[in-house]
Amino acid sequence: MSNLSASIDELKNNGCQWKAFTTEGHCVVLAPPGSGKTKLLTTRMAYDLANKINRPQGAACITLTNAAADQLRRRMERLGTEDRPNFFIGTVHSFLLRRVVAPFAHAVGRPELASITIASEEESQKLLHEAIYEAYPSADTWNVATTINFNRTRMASAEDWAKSGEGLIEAARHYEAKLEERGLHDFSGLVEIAVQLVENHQIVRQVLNAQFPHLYVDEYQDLSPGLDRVVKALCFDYLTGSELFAVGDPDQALFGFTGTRPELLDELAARTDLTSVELTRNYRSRDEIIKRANMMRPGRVPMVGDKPGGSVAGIYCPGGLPDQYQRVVDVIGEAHSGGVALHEIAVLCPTRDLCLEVTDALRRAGIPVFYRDVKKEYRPNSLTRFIESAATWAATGRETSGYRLGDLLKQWRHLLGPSRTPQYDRKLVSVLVEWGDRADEAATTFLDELRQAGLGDVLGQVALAADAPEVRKMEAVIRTWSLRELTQRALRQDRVEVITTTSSKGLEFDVVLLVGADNGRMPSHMSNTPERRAEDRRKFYVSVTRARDDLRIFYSGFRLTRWRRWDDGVSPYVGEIELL
Amino acid sequence: MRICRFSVKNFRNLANVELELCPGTVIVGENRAGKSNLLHALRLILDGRMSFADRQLTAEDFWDGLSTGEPDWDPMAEGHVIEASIDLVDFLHDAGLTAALGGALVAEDPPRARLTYRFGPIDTGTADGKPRYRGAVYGGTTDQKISSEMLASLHLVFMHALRDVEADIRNWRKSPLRGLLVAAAAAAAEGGDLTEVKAAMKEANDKLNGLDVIKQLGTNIGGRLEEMVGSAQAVETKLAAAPDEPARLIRAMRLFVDGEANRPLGSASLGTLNVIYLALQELGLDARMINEPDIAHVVMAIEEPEAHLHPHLQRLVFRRLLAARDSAYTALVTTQSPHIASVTDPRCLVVLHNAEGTTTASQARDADLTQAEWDDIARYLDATRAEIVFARKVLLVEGYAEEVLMPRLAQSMGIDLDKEGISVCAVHGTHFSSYVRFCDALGLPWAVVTDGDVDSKGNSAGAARATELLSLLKLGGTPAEHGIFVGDTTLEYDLITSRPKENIVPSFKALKELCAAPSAADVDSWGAAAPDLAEFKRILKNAGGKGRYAQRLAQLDIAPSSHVEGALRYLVER
Repeated sequence: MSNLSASIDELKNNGCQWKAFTTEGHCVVLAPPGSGKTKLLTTRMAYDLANKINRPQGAACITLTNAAADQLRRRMERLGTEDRPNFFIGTVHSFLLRRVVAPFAHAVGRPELASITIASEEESQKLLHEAIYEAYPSADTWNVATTINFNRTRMASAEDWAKSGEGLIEAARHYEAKLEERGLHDFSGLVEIAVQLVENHQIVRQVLNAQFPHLYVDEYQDLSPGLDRVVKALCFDYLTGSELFAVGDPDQALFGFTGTRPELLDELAARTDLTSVELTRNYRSRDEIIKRANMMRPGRVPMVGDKPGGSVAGIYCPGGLPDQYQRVVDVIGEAHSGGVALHEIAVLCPTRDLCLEVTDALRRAGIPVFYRDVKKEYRPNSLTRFIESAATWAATGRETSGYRLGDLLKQWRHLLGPSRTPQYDRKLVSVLVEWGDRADEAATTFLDELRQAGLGDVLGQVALAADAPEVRKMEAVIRTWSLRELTQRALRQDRVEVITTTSSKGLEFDVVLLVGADNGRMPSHMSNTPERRAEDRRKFYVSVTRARDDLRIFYSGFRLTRWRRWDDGVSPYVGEIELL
Repeated sequence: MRICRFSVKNFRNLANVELELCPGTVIVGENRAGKSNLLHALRLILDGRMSFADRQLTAEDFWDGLSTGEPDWDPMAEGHVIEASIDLVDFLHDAGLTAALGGALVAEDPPRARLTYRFGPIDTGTADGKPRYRGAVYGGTTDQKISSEMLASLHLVFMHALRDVEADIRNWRKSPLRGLLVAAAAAAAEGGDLTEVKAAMKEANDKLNGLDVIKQLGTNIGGRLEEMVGSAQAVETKLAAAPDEPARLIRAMRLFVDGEANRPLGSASLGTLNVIYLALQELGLDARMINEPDIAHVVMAIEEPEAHLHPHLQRLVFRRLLAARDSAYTALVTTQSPHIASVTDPRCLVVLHNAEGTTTASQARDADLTQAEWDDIARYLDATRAEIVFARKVLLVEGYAEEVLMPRLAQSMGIDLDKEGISVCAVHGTHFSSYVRFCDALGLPWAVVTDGDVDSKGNSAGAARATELLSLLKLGGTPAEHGIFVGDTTLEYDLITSRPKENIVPSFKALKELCAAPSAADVDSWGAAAPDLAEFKRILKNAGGKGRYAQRLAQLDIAPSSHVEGALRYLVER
């Protein structure tokens, strides 16, 4: 029962965290890697709910992915926070849909919005491509779809759209018309409606302020500009306003290419009507790694570690990528024989191609390796993770499997959302118990039975529209697997992990091996704008900060393409952290 | 499913009680021993009808033993916690239950669930002021809260000791009959058997309304209403014996007793009503378990159900209720009735003792007995002897004669056995060993009075018996130190030889009264001295045996032999 008090006591030992914890009024926390931001966020929210917010008022906590929301929910529960009215933890989209658009549709005279249908990703992409084809029957359109998505996410002004040209504007109009004809919305459309409702209707703001007098936003740097507008309308209205507690790290913004604006967080932190706190203690990495990471953060308060030692090395591989892979194999061998568990070692690559090659090289060297190829494989998200953990509970010792039925049921109810009934719980449990001695049967049969038990209805949930397609991918991937093989996948033990620099965000390992640190890869030769190059630089920075003890960076100074050799030198970031 | 463990801490007089439960557990104990508190603790965990407010306790609900003795002592300022907890096993076959208990599992395989009601301070992260208390049900070994919605599939039926059965049956909302009638009405409507009933009912109503007097009455009512409030606002009324609508008719049906006489329930005896209530309750639960699969297990918590029930009915009804009908029922009964205790599996008996405001629980199942010995105890505990479990202390004797004589002998020592809470139990033989272990398990102090039974070679079988008993109980020292008192010969003869001054006159008097003339003459021939043992036994037989003699002797003034006196003193001092 003392989790909350214990957690608060720990914050007291860290001046910056304590300052953020005790701030009155709006607070923005700039949280570099490993600085304990999730703990700060959840402890503060639990404390506020217990002491500052009286029922039936509550709080809303908005984060980026369903998986992150699951994690926050679990941590809140551990801090003893009970479910209560007007308490929301979820993604931006589910917040806007379930708490902003649907409840106020009637009040603002737009009843058609009370039950809007979000187009599936496949459907909206199909419509978009049709629209582009109609607008540009014969031209080269390779970046039109991305630009339209980018502009829509960014809620671009007419001026910005104009920069993209008439044809593109026309294609976008076609696309919106197609959605409308079918009575559909895409996520950008949803955000736009929500922004209108909040900005144009005082009653919406008043009710939301009353329901959620405190608003917590996680990963602010990666949220869409639409949400930024919703937050500002809710928190900085000159009459009333919810108290904002936002955390994030502008240096870790990796989704600018989708239309998000990493600078929004810095702009927010610069406001004078709020307290801005920069966390500086890094609990993850050893001093040497922190020293190098700080070199990439000029103008920020340097991070301070609490663990001495660590090592960072640049490794010159004159033979190009094959040479780099060979060195990677050697280093893994050394580290493993030095006592590092294989799953505490990660190889990070700037692109999927490199990931595939490294994986192949490690396999040939007999090193157990795991790479989730998102093109062929499924992504870990709230749904695929749920399926993996359900399989593990069922097939490997139930309550002793490391997964708990209670957690699974909670996730299940969350996934089912408003359509949950005890009937669904019972069906899930029947399947799980029954599979106790069927571990050698086909994993797809298990998935089918889950679908029968209610997963089929889950997949239809609007709030999960972004996660659902991964389940179809998963089904294709596990077609030949037994349930046991699926559970082994979930355990993620005793194998080296290969990941792209982009998807390494949020992870940490004892040993990080960064491959392909050559100019043209970091930054990519495709990154033709300053914004793109800044994002590539942030990916490098994020990769560096994944390491706890040991960081090795591999480079050759040139790269080969199908046609020629590019002697563009080593990645400039290697020099920036003074390894050259 | 099985509830295998039940523990209560710091709740009223239950400082720290832990029980292993059977599907049908019977809890006995004196008044104020904590029986009702134990059931209430179970309700705090399981009773779906308890509201949030009902689960919030007060400072008075904390065990007094926590007190520092200061007048303004407040358990809630010191952060004390009240807890009641049950462990459940064997539920994996039932998906509904498993789902309901999913949040309450402890990390074990096969799974075990733990539900804990806790009234304790909640962590708000501040140490300022008095702690905020909250009573709620938590699952497993964590702080996960379990909602009452989740627990609905574990259905607790609580029957209060002094409930008004008649009113409960008559009150539509509370009546166990209601669910049954509603279901019947729905089924009948579906079957389509109601058209004829409807026609017949309409015909009957029409015929009644066709009678001149009724017609007149109808007109009068209508007229008077119109007179009072005017035609615009008058309600339209109609007289009918019962509604035409057959489904409503079924729902409006009532239970009558005494066959053709159709007497209302109120005329039935309270005992009958209780039986009817239990039967309806059982039927209703059976139906709900079939029709509403969201009830997966029923826990019956019944408080002192014996009121107004004839002993035979007590035994019949509870023999049935306590036998584990199937794994879907658990019963927990508190009682003061030896009749109910007598139909309980002796392993499922729990005795609560209260000493200085603190209750301890003792369980018969803790006795280390073989199956044969348990069977023997079960046979032994018929209604007259089940009193043993209600006793404070037990004096174990061999047979009926001793049972009859002991109260009289105690009285002559100035001891009232009822006031001391001492029950005299005849084991009808000399096989004391299973009974003393049974008493030990129930926390009942005991003493044994047994005959010396010296054989022709001068060996005392009684002394050998005592030694054997000591070694079985792994006790050192003398038998008397542990409550085993051995006579010299047989009790009747010992009385004469050990206290001749007090006992010869009454003993001889009793013998003479019971014997025919020749034997009475033999008694006279003894004068005022004891005959030898064989002669005494011969006359005793002629007097109709030990039992008859004991009954007569017990009406006279007699003094205890030394071993009886020792046993009684020993028990009184325990």
